[in-house]
Amino acid sequence: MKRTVIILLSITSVVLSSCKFEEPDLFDDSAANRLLKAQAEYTKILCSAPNGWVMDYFPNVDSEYASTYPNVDMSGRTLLVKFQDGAATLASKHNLTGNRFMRDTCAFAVITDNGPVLSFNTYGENGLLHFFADPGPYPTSDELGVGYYGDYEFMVLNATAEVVKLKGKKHGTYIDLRRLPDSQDWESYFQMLADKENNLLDTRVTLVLRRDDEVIYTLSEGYSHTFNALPPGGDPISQTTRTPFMITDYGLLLAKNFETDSLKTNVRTFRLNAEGTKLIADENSEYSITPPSLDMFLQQSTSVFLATKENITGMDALFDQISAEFVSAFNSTRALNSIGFGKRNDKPAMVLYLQNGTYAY
Amino acid sequence: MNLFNKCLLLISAAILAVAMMMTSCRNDDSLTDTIFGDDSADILDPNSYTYKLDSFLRVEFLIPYNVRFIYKMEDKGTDMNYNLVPATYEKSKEMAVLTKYLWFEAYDKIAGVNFLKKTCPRIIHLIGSPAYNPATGTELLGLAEGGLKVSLFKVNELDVNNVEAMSELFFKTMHHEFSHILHQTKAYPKDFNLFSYKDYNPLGWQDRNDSICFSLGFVSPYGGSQTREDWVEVIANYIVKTDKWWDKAYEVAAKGWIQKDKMQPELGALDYELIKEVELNAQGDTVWNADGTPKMVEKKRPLPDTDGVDGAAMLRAKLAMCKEWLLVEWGVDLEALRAEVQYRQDHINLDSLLRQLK
Repeated sequence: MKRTVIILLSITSVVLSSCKFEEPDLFDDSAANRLLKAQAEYTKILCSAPNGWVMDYFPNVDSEYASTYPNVDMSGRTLLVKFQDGAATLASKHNLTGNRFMRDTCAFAVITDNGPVLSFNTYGENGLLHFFADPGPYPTSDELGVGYYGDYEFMVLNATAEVVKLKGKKHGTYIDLRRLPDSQDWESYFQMLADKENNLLDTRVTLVLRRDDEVIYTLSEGYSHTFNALPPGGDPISQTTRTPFMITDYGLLLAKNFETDSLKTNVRTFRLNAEGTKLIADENSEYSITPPSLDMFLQQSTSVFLATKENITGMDALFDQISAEFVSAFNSTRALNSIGFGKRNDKPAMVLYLQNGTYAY
Repeated sequence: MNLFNKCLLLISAAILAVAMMMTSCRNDDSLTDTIFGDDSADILDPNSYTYKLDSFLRVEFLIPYNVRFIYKMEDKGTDMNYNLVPATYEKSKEMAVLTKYLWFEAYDKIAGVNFLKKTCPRIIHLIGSPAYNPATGTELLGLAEGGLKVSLFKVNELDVNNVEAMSELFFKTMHHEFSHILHQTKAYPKDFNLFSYKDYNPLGWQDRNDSICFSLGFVSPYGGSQTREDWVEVIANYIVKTDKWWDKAYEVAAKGWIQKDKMQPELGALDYELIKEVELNAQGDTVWNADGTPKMVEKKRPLPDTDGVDGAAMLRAKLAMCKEWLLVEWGVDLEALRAEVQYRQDHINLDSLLRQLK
């Protein structure tokens, strides 16, 4: 018996000595050191853009918030932001700035939180960014401490010299910083966005989202920067999905992917094609946002379809001819901008539209 | 046990010992460079956007008092259930110089320079927005935690041109939170618990009008929430509020009151009830209507104080206990401190104070 015990003990000791629990390191440095390195590297990248970055900012994409406050404008806004010497210089121009170009300054730092976090850690004097994170009492006219539910601190997911990918720390919205060309004047940038918006959005035109030629949604009320997306033949009350978006220098960015039963795919970023006739999804090019077909438009009784040189290919020559004859016949000082097709007394009609400013009809 | 077995046992034991030594001889735990040895993070960059304030805070708070005055908001240092935003840089500058002038310098002068070095919170954290409590319709203005940290909210609403509001929102809050720090370090007298234990309302304090509270012997509605808040509210209100205010409080506290609306204290309270009486002429005779009925007039009749508390006496007793405790336990003369703080409140020159930020 004793011998058995001794033998077992010996075997156990051999087994123990073979339990070598040395594992290869997954990382070449400690977590703390890697975090400090990331902090320094991301700070350097952020400060490396001499003319700053374009920030595509959405306050939040929270579905519960959207359903609780359906009337709050959750569309995205463009912010330009430059990082230098601990200061973030911002600029923006949108409906909440009274459509005036405004600048702002606040402090910033890449802090070592649970990971590297870009924190705009003092409130800007004009609140261009922090306004959306402020607990209110706007825009909901109550004192629930909710506000727009936006972020001012962002986890840095990835950073290159061209794009910094961020995620709102508290409310989780994905936001990109895109490097602004060094020669781009900031104020002109917002004018360019306004011009682009005037070309892309029109109160009289309901856009459509297509998969190839199939219409997936009609996208109404785009002028409010929130599409009311409705499948063809759908019930407007129960099947309308509100989808905030923003106009960008390359086209259009939705707050988040369309997520419905009929469309579960990654379509968020839409780029305007070279002809300026449609917005094509970046990652699934079979999806595009276009004006409605004329047939489809004429079924709608409330708006006018505008045919311009830009949105109807092949009409250039005809359009120029009509315009020239019009100017000549009426000795007009105004150019013909577009030809509108609409309904009058329930019958299709064609109307000529004059333009002095963008929307002076 | 024969010799062979003994030898076998010894050999086994030796193998086991060697095995244990082998497993413990692991040379893979060499530490990397320390992340704390480098003090470069403490060196301020003169080109930094916030250098003026950072260097002021270092010289005026960190070095002499070991206080971190955090104005670049750290939301991990807050309750993440609230939506909060940072203070602006300009308001942070104002709050920093005012904190030094109205709080630190006042205590230094009255209680000696070592008092705050020993007792002050090690962290003062500025937050730009209020912290809303939607369930109760209240806002958090300040927070003292563990004797170490004071958070001041709503800093973006600091208005130096409105001393009264500034005092109510911020400097009363400072003294309130600091008084928490003091009693979290040395407990206040247990006898204080006996004053109003029947009348505290931790959940519905915000629904009681000021006058009702005075009459119950509370210096403010929040003072009526629980004992420790009552304690610090007495001290803080005594420091920042004038004699005129306290005289009025005693006067109100001596009366009976009824709130106009039970759930809307902001609508006020009445110290009378309307009654109808027969009108008497100068001779004391009844005045009659044309139809032969006596003419009735509406009169205000003072309400009896039915809460069972002599509010004014209660307030005085609470104040006396606070004064004694501060003097005995901390060597702080509350009257002298109050006079110093109120003198300073009346002589704020913000431009001059801000010139300290070079």
